[in-house]
Amino acid sequence: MNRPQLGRLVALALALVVAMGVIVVRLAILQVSRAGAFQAIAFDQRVHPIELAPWRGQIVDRTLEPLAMSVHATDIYADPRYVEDAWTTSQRLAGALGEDVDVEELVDDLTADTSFVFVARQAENAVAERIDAMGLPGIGFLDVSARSYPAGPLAPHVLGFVDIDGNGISGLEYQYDSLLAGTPGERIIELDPSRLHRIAGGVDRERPPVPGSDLVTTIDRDFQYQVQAGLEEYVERNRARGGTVVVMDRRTGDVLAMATYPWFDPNDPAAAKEGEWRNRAITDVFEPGSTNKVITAACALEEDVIGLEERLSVPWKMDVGPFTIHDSHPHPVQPMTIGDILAQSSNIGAVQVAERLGPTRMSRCLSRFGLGHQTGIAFPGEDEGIVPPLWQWTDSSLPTMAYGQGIAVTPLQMISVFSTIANDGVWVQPRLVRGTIDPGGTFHRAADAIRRRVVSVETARTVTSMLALAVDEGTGSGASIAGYQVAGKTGTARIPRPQGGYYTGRSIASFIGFLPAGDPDVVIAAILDRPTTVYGGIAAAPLFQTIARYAIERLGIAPAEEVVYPPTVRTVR
Amino acid sequence: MSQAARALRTDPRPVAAGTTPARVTPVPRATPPGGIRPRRRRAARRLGFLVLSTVVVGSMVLALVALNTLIAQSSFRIDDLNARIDTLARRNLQLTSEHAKMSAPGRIADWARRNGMRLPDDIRFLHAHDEPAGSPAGVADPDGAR
Repeated sequence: MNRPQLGRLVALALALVVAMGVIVVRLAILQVSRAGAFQAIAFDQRVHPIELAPWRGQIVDRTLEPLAMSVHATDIYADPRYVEDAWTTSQRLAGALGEDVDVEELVDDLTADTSFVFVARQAENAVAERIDAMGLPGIGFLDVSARSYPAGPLAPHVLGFVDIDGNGISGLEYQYDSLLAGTPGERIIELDPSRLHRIAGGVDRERPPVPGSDLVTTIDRDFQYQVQAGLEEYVERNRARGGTVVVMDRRTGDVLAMATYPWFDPNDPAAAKEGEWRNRAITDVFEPGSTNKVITAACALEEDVIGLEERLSVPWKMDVGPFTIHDSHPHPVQPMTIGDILAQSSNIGAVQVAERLGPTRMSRCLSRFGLGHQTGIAFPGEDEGIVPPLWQWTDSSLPTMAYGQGIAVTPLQMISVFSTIANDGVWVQPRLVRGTIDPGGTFHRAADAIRRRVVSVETARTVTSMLALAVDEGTGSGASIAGYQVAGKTGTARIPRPQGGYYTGRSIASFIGFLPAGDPDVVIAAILDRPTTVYGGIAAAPLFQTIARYAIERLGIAPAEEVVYPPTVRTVR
Repeated sequence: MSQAARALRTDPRPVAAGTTPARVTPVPRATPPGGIRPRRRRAARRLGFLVLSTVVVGSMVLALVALNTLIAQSSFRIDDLNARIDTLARRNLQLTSEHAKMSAPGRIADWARRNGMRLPDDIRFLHAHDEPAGSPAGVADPDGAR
């Protein structure tokens, strides 16, 4: 018997030892030196974080009635790999989802080369339950929330709306998105390689989501409805293109109602036409027309450039550079006090008063009343208006601005001007939000509105008496209400052409005022876009009157002591 | 030995008649160590320990099982209650949503219009405090009621 050579045995043994050594070294690398890294990779493969969506806060009115809220809904999805008969499944799904579902499109989705496709998003739970009961293979359900606006098209421009994922994209929904949205939570679970089943005893940690806070607005839901109903009625009656109404509490700056016509249903914002999403009370500007004479008169009195009893000789038209300015109706040269000028809304009289002020003081005064500046109402897209800087003024700037042409303001800026007069000369920043309610139920009041004095108490009360006269005896008689003294001013402003000049026969008719004149509770701006009735006194003053009646009833406004009218040519000797 | 002493002596073992009493070797009373009686005692003690241990361990196991069952029952109850809270919260939200829709001013106004109601034409503020107590606040207008 031949015995193997010792050398071969040794070589074989050495080879085995080396091979074993390599294995041991590799094992040591895997199990010892890089063990942590591999453990982490394996952990990451097994452990899956799932984001837990927070519940979006409500938007409520000043009496805590919900204007926007989140409700339970269901996303219905399909995993085409498990769908057995795409055509039958599509037909049954379409039958349950409604008529507007395209069956062929659904078949395409259910036969797609993917593992996930949405069948319907934010479907009603009842629909999802019906589909679930069918037991269709490959169809799954996700519990989600959907935004609902229970009052439908009520204050849609103020509330705004959210996208399909619940992110605010317009209005207060956008402005306060981070506050309403809350903080997402997280659940970490350990799954098997199929990712379908949890590993028993594996990781299961949860950080619950923090719901969003509720937003308490200054809007009064019922009053807002009345305002919208009134606005719609007067837009149709005057065959106007649209309109805007803002109602404000002069003491707090709270906006009680804010409506723009036409409006839309925030439950279906896609159905709105282009531009209908804009809150024109805040984002759009118009030339204020004669309502701006309030600023002219207030500044003239504040700067003491004219006496209350002083008579001015006012013709019906005058030339300013290349332009001719005239009053709304021809009249002979007539004496007028500043009270008459405001009450009769004389453009020429306003120009004469403004010329006494001069451009510098007029420019400063417009700025002090907030024109050319955002009010800071905390609303997306607020416009600052257009007031040319003093160095850009031409010879016609001062005269035209005196009666509200050549500048542009937002309805909110203009109501703030009248609110300043109603508030004894103190400008109060308007606001749409009273506060928030945190998830624990605690109410946090919004910071008090910014205030600043613009004119003296005496000036404000004198202008108030002129505005009361304008309603009682002047152009604003359409706004008067039996038993109440109303103060206000009409405005009829021509609409400028983009290429310069003004359109013929197109105007913005407005009436802005407050009541009761002696101790005002609310300030109301009523504005109609291109009414066929043209004039503020005919088109907008009755709208103001209607809204004021609603306000008296809804807010319980009592009559106050009447103010004494200013001197007029009839009373001054 | 005297006669009296003999008479007093008694033998506990009965002696059969006609036989000579056998000599009896006395049995020692003390059992040496490792004998039968200590082993029995140890066995008895061990048995007692075993029984006691069994009873104690058994009781503990039973107590643990009972406790575990109670915990499981509580867990199921907590799950049930959580599910109930979830269901009720959903129901509450659904009812809040329905209430908000039903109380929407537009819906109420439509209903009122359909049922022949309308807003008043004129609004007057009555100063109740200016009138003597008990006087009528206004005059009824029969035409207005039509």
